[in-house]
Amino acid sequence: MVFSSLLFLFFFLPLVLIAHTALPPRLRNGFLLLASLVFYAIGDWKNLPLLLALTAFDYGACRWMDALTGKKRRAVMGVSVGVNVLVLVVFKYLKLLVPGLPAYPALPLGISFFIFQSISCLVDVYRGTVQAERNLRDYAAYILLFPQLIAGPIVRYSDVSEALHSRQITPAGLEKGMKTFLAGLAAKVLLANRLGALCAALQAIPNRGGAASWLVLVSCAFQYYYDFFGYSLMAIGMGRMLGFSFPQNFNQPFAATSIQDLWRRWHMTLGTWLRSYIYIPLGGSRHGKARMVLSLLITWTVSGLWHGAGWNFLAWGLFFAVFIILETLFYGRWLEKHRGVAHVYTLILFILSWGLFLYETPAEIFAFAGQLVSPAVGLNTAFLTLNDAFPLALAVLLAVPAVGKKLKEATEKYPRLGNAAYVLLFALSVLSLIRAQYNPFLYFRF
Amino acid sequence: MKDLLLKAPLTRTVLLLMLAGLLLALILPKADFSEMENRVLATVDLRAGQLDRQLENYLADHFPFHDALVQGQSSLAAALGRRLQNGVLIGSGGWLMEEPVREAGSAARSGVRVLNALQDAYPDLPFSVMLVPPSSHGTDHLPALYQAGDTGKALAELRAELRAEWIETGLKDPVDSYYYRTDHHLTAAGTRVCYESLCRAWGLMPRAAEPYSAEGFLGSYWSKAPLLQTQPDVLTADLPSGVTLTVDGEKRDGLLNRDRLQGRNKYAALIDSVYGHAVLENTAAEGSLLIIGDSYANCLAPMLARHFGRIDLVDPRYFAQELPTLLRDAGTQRVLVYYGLNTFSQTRALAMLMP
Repeated sequence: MVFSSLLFLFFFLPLVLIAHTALPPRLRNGFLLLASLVFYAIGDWKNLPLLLALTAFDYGACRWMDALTGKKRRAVMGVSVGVNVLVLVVFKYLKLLVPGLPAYPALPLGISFFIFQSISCLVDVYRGTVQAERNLRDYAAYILLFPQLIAGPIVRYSDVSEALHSRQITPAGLEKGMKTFLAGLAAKVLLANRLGALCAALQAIPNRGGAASWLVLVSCAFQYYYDFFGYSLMAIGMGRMLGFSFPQNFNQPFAATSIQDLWRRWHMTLGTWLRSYIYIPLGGSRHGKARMVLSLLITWTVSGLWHGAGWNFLAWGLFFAVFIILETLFYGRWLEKHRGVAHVYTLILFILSWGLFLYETPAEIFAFAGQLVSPAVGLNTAFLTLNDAFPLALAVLLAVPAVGKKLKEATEKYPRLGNAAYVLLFALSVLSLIRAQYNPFLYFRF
Repeated sequence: MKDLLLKAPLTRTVLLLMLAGLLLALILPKADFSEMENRVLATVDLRAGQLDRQLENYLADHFPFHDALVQGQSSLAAALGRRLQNGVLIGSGGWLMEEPVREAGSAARSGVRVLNALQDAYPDLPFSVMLVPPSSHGTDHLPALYQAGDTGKALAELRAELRAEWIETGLKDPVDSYYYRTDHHLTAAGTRVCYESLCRAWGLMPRAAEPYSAEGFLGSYWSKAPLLQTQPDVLTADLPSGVTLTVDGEKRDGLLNRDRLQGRNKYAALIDSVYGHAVLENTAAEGSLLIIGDSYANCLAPMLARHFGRIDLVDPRYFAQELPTLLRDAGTQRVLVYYGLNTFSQTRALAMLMP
C-alpha cells in the first residue's frame, strides 16, 4: 500500500488519523505501532517477522549498551550494527555479490530506510548522544512508524524521542500537516507520475537522437525529484498530523551551485546520515587531503549502492564523489564567486547523472551517451514533449525557489483561497489515481 | 477531538471527503462491467495474492461516480494539452485514433508463418489476405506535431512475406467517410470499398446495399479517452435480407443483436460482437467462404453473404474447434484472412488454428 493510492487515502489514513487523535495520549503509541504493522503487512506481510525480529534485537542491543561502558559497549555496538548490515547485504546485495545462485531472498519493503534508521539509533546510543528507549513498544513505534518506514525521511531517534513520550496534536499542527501532505500528494501524482510517463515514452522512441535523450534525462530528473520530494512531504505532513516533527528532506536542489551544495539540498537526511556515520568516523577532512579523498570515495560508494544493488549505482555514487573531490581540492572557491556558471555546471552534471541511474549495464550506458550527442531527431520527440508540456513546465517553474515561496505566501495571505487550492489539489490527485494510468512505486529497490 | 477539528477547517474538509468517499464506495451498488470502458471491472479474490493491488484496482474501478470522474479527468487532461491518452490520439475535428503501425512486429510475423503453413497444408484452397490500416494512416486529423512516420512499411513487409493472394483494400486518402471518429472499425462506406475490391479480385459483381444506421455510437477509442465533448458517431451497416446467422451453435434472430443497440458500443450489435465461430447462410447463393479475422469482419461478412451460400466466420481468439473439421464440414471453397492491421500486428491467436 503506497501513500498515493486510493486504499491509503480513503481507508487507512482517515481512520488512523481520527483514531489517533481521538485516543488518550497513553494509548497513541500502541495504536501507532499497530497501524504501522498493518500498513507494512498489507504491502509485505512475509517480511514482517524479519522486521519485528530485527526491531527487538536492536532494542535489546540499545538497552544493553546503555548499561555498559568501554570496550564491551563498543563490542555490542559493533555486533549489532554488523548484524543490521549483514541483513541488508543478504537481502539486498547477495545477487550482486554472488550471481548465479538458484534463488535469492525477496527484498523486504523499505529495508534500506529501516536499517539505516536502526543503525543511527544504535550508534547514537553508543556515542551517548541519546539514551536508549526503555519501552519496547515506543521503540518499535519509532522504528516502524508508517509515515517514514518505507520511503524515509531517515529519522534519528533524537528527532522524535520527545514527541514519542509527550506530543501535542494542535489545530495548527493538523492544518500545517494536512497542507504539507496534500502538496506532497500532488507533487507525486500530478507531476512525478506524468513526468515518469513522459520519460518512459521518450525512452521508447527508436533511433532516439540527442534532443530526445536529453529530454529523457530532464524528465527523469524532475520525476525522481517530485517523487522523492512528494513522498517526503507526505511523510512529514502525516508526521505532523500525528504530533511528530520530521526533518526536512529536500531544499530546492535545482538551485544548487555546486555538487556539494546539491547534496546539502537533496535527500538531506541521507546526507546527514552518511556524514555522521560514515564520512566523519572515517576521518572526514580532519586528517589531510588523502584521507579526505578516501573517506569521500568510501562514503559515496555506500551512497551509490544504497540507492540500488547494481554496478551502475556504484558508478553513480562515484560520479558525485569525483566532482565533490575536484570541487574541494581545486575549484570550489571559484564556483562560489561565479554563481551563474556554477548553477549551470551543477544542473548539467545533475541531469547527466540520471543516465547512470536509468541504465544498468556499461553497454546501455555507453549507447545512451552516444545518443546524447547524436544530431538525429527521434520520431515524435516534439509531440511527446508537448503532450506533457504542462506538467513539465510546472515542474520546472516550481523548482525555482522564488516561485514556491510566492505560492506559499499567497496561501497564507488568503487562507480560504489557499485551503480551496489544497482541496482542489486533493481532488485532482484523486481523479488521476482513479484513472491510474501510471502510478509507479519507485522505492521497491530501496 | 471535536474542538481540534473545528479549528482545523482544511483537515476537517479533507477528512470528511475521505470518509464520504469510503462510505459511498461501501454502500453504493457495484457493477460487474463498465459499459463506458468496455471491460470487466476488478474483483477481489482473497486466494490470489497481492491483496493490496487487488484492493486498489477494486477501489479505482468501483469508486463513486467512477465514469463521470474518468470522463472529467480525460477532458481536463486534453484541455491541458495531452493529445495522447491511453494509446489514443486526440486529433482535430473530434477525431480519435490509435497510433499508426510502423513495423510488422514479431506477433505479425508469427501470424504470417501460421498463414503460410495453413496454405501449405491446404494447397487446393485459395487463400486471400486483406489487412485494413487504422484511421491514423492517411488522415488529416492527426494532432499537431504528431508524425505518422512510414505507414506503408508494415503492410509492404507483410505483403512480401505472405504467400497468399494479397488484396488491397482500395481505401484512398482522405479517409474521413471510411472510418468512425470514435472507433477503430470501418464504416459501411469503408467496408464497401473493401468489399468492392474483393469482388474485383474474385470476379464477383458488387450488389446494391441495404443500408442500416443507428445514432449515438461511441466506440472503442472513446472508451479509452472518454472526452466529455465527443460527438457520437452514427453506426452504419449493410444488412442484406434473406441471410441467417448462427453464433457458436445458437441461431440468432437476424444479423443484428438489437439488445446491444441500447448500449454505447453499437458496433457490438453486428453479428453479436464477439464469437469463436459464426455462420451466415443464404439459400439464394452458392459456394462456401471461410473468413478468419477479427471484428472488422462483422461489417464485411453480411455484404459477402450475397455471393456465398455459407460464410463461416472464425475469430481465432475464441475459436474452440478444430479447423480441419470445420473446413471439411463446411465444404469451404475459399479462405479470406481479414484483419485490422493493428490487431494482426499484436495477436498471436492465429497459432491456435494450427493442429
